[in-house]
Amino acid sequence: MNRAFLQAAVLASVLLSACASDQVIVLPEEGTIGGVVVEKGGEKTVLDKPYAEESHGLFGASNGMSNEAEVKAGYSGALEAQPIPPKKYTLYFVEGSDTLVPASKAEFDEIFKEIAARKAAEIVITGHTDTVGSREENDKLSRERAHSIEHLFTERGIPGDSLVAVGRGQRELLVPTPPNTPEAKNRRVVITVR
Amino acid sequence: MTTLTQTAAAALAALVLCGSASASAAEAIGQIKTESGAVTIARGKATVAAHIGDRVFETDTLVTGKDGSVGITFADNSMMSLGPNSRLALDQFHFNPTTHEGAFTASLKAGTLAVRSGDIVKETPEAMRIRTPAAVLGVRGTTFVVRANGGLL
Repeated sequence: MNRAFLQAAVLASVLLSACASDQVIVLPEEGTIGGVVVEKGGEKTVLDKPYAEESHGLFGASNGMSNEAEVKAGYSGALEAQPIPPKKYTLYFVEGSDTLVPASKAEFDEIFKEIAARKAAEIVITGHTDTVGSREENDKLSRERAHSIEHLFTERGIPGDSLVAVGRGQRELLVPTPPNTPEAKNRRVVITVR
Repeated sequence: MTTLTQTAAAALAALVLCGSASASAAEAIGQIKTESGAVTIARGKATVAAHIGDRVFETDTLVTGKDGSVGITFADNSMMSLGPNSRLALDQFHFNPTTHEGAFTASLKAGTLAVRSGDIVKETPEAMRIRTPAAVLGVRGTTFVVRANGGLL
């Protein structure tokens, strides 16, 4: 086997790996997979099955099924660098106050354990309302509800720049109801630790 | 007179545009949660080293070295992480935390990327887009990996 042949073989393998260079693989997960729409030159392909794969190379696009071993081999660096997924906690308050109901007090301590387990934790406080009142009023009320408990975090040493308070109004009802329906379970605050 | 008014209007519009551009540029869109090896952020003409806890901004480009990797969680709870020898441009990011309306476009110029979609896509499917040298991915809600072999094709 001569040197020129070896060089040609190396070059060919480099070119071949370049052929399969662009690739997307959908990973398995719990629940419904919404999927990814791959668009290339006006053509669309929907990938919405676990390990569904599309590659683009010198010879055009190809579809197929990948697998766990292939994903591990090709993407271990990116997968190991994935952040811990955001975690959500729902808190309920004694009506008309910023005092947590007893069950939520225990939940509140869990939140601080989760914060401590992360390297750069951010806390998003999201207020929600029921459907009593107008959308605009509820946007404002939900924002106020979120702001009203910010101090519960700052008091325990969470820096202000790691805290975000937002209101979702009545857009994300825990218990679906018609308009103008009082519902305690919808008057809540969701804490996202990320 | 009309011309003068038009000129004045154009100047005002330009001022408003500049103002909004600098306001959005100053707002962090995500935070670095994991990092190892060589990772830098190209921001305008500057290049800064990336560390856990650092914020990232619209138009930043993340670059990892041959032993580098980095993971980011964004304001809409979406996540992206890069393997070694990778380059990812955060082209566009808007997110309204009240309505969850928004748009997120990023370009993988080279290397490997893992993506987990977030609230933007839950509200508006395909409002998150990942560009690679070969294709555009419209995200409807999923976890997936992407590879781009920048410039070779």
